[in-house]
Amino acid sequence: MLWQFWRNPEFMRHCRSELRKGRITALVIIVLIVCTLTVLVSWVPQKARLEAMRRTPFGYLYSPSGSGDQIGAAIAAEKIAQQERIRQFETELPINTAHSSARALLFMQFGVLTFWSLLSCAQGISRERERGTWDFQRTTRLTSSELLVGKLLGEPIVAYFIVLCSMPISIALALEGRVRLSGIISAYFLMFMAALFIGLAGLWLSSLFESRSRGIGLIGAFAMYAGFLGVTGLADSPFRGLAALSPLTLLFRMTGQDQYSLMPNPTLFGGDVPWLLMSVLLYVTFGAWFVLMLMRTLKKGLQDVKLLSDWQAVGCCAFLNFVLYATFNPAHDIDFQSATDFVMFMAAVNLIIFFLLGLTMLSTPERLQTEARPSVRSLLLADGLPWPGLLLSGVVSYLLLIWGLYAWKAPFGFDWHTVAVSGGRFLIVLVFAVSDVLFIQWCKLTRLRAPLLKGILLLCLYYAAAGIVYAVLNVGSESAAIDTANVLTPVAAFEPDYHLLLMSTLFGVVLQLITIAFLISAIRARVQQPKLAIAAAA
Amino acid sequence: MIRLSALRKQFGSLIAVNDLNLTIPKGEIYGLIGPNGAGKTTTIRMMAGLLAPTKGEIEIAGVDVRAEPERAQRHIGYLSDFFAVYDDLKVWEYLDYFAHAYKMPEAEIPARIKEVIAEVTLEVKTDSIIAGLSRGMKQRLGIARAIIHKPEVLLLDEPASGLDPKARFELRVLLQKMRDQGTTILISSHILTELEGFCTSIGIMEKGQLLRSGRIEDVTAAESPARTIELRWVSASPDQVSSILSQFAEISLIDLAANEGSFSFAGSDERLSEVLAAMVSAQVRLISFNERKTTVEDLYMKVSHHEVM
Repeated sequence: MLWQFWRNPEFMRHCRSELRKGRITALVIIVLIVCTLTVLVSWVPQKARLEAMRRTPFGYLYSPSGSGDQIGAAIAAEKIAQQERIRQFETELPINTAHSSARALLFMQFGVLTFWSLLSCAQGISRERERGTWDFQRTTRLTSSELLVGKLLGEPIVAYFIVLCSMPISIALALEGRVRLSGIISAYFLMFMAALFIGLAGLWLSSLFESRSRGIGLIGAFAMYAGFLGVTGLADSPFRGLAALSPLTLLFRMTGQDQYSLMPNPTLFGGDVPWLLMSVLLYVTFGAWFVLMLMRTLKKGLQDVKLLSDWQAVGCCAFLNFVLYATFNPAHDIDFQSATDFVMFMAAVNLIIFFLLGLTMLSTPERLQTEARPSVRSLLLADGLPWPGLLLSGVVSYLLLIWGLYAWKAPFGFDWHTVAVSGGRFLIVLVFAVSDVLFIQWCKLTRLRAPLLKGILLLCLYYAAAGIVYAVLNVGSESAAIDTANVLTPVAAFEPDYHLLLMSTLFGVVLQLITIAFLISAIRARVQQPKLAIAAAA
Repeated sequence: MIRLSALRKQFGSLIAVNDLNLTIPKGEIYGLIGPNGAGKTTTIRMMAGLLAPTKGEIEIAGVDVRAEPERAQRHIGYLSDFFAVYDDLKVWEYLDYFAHAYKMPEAEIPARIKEVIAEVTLEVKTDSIIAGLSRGMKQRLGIARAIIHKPEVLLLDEPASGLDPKARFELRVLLQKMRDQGTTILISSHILTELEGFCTSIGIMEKGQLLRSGRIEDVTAAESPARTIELRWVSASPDQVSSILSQFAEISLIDLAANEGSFSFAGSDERLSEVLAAMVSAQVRLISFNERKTTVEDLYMKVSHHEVM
């Protein structure tokens, strides 16, 4: 049933409810009207240009010089040339019209399919939760993978129908417009891959939100779409390959947009890779992580959700770092002047990675209480605190950094001093990330409503306050301001003249370690409360 | 058929279900009663596989719900107190969806849909869009969904809330029919009259714990060994009746008014017949002499401390 998606009950349900006869007829009519209008919009300017050419005897401002006969001959020749241009334009008019219509339709199909996929999938599960039907789906015998396939293809079924309806027209127009068949197939393949990928991302987002917080999920979906399209901008960065995550990059290239058609291929470990292959590789690998998280959580209640186990989070961290090193192109010399610049960039990226992975490893109060035990063995339990997983992730990302520095020793050079200093930078980043993540874990054990959101907001407030303190102190003494910033925030990791043994940096790390110890003991105290309640009841 | 052992569920510092042990044999209609917040819904949701227990085991039809959730779902029909449906489907499409989702054999599905629709008397609405159905009809459709795959165990959480009296009666008839076919039914409610004369066993739950559990007669007998006998008479004084009753050691708590009263009797049926004979021979003209049946409500009021978490 998994691969025969047309027999998947969830897919069938969407087809039945959303593709009734009346709606299908209306959609087909709309698609035909839009296609006709698109062709007309492409044809009208071309036709106007042709008329203008016919009205003008010469193709350009023509002022021949010479004797009367010579001028007469030149004018006659130009008239013939102009007639030839008009004849050629007339011959090419249908081809040009078809080509530009096909291009416009392709972008419209892309917009409809990807945006609809994201939007419908991003509400797929939260809407079911709101309706109260989600529990009934969970009590059926449908497996997580069957539910996933059914929802991924079923939720945006109307968008797929619209695209499939307009596809014959756009393919015919593209062929008429002298577009190669392989190009057309590649464009549609990419479009469907992108739609599946963004749909997966939407489903993942939807699985995290209940009915009350559905609005936040939708905002997240819009942000995700903006990011999805925005990565096109990475095409002009040292991580050019990551631009392949957005199908726009390749679509622009395929449809002959000037800036993109001249763009070189992305690199993987320094070797050229075709854009299409790069897109497919990124969709498959990133999509696999979304699938993993969805498979772990789809048939569980929100209170039992833990997106990634500790080991999977370590794997994810390694994957993300690996992708960055693999797509890095040192030939692009705009951003990184030295190994230090590169290390600082990787430290900043890893700060975000650690924080996000920490969020995926957060346990719900129920799970944490179920499994956590104050013993060494509990460190690697599936439902323990996130810090051991983050620690391992830190070690893995640091080892990958050493490998990356060694791999790119040609442009940057390789020396052990840089490696040692990088360790210090990564330590600072890791310690601050662990402390922030543990703070949010602690928030989840309190009676706060929406603890994750409030925890993140409180952290933002803390860093904003640290920023204000820095700004105020900076008026009097810059060194005092820097010292304070080093104590309160991980900015020391991004200082080009970093020194681990700087007192304020050390003090900052020690302070965070004390905070971590305090948070762990506070979490343990909260976790043990129910046990005490049981003992009291007994 | 249903076995829960040391089942516990904690929400933060709150223990919603505390080490619950329960066994329900095949063919029983088990009423789980208790005030709101007693832990009934949490227990049922854990049994349906919707909520992971903090600890303990749940076995339905011999299948461990935690270890093999998909296999266990084959045996479970679940209905919650709200009847959420897909408004944009037709009645038969809705049932067809769930029949496929429960992975019933393809060939059996059309006949089963027809059968279930007839059982919930929605035949005339088979081809109607669900959005156009009344609330009662939607609730009946929800029941049809829960039984479409012929579950051996039916878990019903407040199934009659919001149903009109006729629909409640029809629900009772349907559930009794299913019981007769061998289905084990667990039904939770805080409306005690809903379960009266319908359940074969009951469990009284409070603060996450099962205070009493078993067949209604057994629980009643264990709770009140003495029966309450009510009587009415004419042309005799209460003192005369009282003096006759006082002759029997099994009788206590005599409460008599002018022509009627009651007493508590802790003896056998033979001895009770002797009490009746003594009254008759003393020429007390009795109008009625009957045992007051202990209702589920009586039992609950007696056992419960009416505490919620």
